[in-house]
Amino acid sequence: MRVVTFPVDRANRLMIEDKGYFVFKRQNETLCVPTECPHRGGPMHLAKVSDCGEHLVCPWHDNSFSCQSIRRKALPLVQRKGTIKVVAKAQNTIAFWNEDGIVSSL
Amino acid sequence: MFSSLEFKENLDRFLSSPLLGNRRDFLSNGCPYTRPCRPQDLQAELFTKALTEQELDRNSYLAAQRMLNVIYEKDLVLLPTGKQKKLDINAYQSFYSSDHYRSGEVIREDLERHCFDFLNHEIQISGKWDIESFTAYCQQELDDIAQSESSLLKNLTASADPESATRFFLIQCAGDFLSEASAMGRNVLGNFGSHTSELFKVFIDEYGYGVHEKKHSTIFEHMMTDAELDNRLHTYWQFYTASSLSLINYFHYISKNHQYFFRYLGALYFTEASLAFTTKSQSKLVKQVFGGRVKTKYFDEHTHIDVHHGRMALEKIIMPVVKEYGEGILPEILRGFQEFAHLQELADEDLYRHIRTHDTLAELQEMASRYQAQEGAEVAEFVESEGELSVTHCHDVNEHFSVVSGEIDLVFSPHKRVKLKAGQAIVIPKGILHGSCVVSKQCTYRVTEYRGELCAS
Repeated sequence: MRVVTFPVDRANRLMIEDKGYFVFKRQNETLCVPTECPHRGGPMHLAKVSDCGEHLVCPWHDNSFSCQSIRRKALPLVQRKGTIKVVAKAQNTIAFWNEDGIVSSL
Repeated sequence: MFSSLEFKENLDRFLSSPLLGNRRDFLSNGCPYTRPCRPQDLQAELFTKALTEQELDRNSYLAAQRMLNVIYEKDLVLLPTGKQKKLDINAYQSFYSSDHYRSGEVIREDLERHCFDFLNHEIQISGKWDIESFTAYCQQELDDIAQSESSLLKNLTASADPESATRFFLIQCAGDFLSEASAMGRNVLGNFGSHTSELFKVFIDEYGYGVHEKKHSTIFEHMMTDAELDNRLHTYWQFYTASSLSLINYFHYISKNHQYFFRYLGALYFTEASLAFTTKSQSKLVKQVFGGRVKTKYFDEHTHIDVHHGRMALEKIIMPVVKEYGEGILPEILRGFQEFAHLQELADEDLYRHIRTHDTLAELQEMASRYQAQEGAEVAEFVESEGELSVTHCHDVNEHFSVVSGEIDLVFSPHKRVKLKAGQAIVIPKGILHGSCVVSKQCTYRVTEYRGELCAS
């Protein structure tokens, strides 16, 4: 178990061992969720938000996933004072960085 | 949703109690019921919205925290203690009257929103938590506290007047410690299985397991006496900062509203586990500043017993409760842990800001003497008679305060006051607690917003 700490404005992508995550902000909620689409591994961090605002649509095959189901896969996260802390079940490599244009429904 | 008419009517009724009205002195004389709140400043509209964290230096925050404390403490049995145990029967009956209780209960929810809603925005918790990730997270937070340098020790020993600064710190603790663990009592009633008894074990330690000399509040009373402070509850009511009141009130807020019981468990865990570390530096501070004249048993007792209480809160209460009721309650427990940590940090920062202001009163006078208000700036002029006292409050903006004639004492703490004569002035930084008392036959003074640079706080 590791607590990964990073500033809100310095990172929205994480790699924990060999698994990718992105920081998804919607309304008054910040989630850290897997980038990999459960269908064929598409890049969910590049998804579009559905018109109703309650689903993410994968750019590869247009599969739609409810925010409710996405929330269930989110890593344990606390955001406070401009810092995000994520608890990862990993001892090894953890990297985080900022990437432009990822999905958000702020 | 804010129900304006009902709120307004009940706020006015609540504030009409003489116990909350203006006083002729800054210290309450052993009467736990007199709680001046400056009703003349408090219109219902001030409380219509939830404050943001950036707005916590407003006077409405102080006023709302004061009123909430009165409302919550109506559920406690308070009688005068100490040397003079004279009971003012009228004040007693008035404090506990059903009419006053009822109006307080009507306005409570809106005041709670005004004061505590910002925490929902400042702290976000998401994701799937299990007991393993919860304990890893909390342990990391507690390790950070254990390993960090004590900002309290650093700031207070660096003060120009460490004794006065430390007394001001003890006064901020007094509102809580002199009736310690009272809010906790709200959670040991009822029946939530064997966990009730586990919580009760922590509770009885706080209450000295029935031996009055061991009761934590009694130990703190001795410490107050050693530090040449009055040890009766709420003698220093007017000198509690809003952020200090927030720490007492938060525990009442999450304990009176049992929908927040799981938050309470998290807040309990944080406070017990972190006090095991922070009381070490508090003890060191008192020893260093008072040179052994003040016994530190209160803090030393917590350094010892809170190691157990932190462990008990986690292993004997939280973990079994989660096992029984499911991991779905973990985000709420974590919210309580984190919310209290957040309020504690804000209270620490606010304390240091007050101490810095107390240390720079001469500079604030110097700054004021050089200041020229802009043409057309709004200026209010007041004429007051000898002995007229302005109950402590704070301002939403930096204020330029100047005396036209007569003399007035500006009071920043029981140990920090500035006498201003005709032609003298001072800048009062926004959010800084202060009151005043006219000391000449009559005094005329002016106040206007100070728009100059402020380096003191």
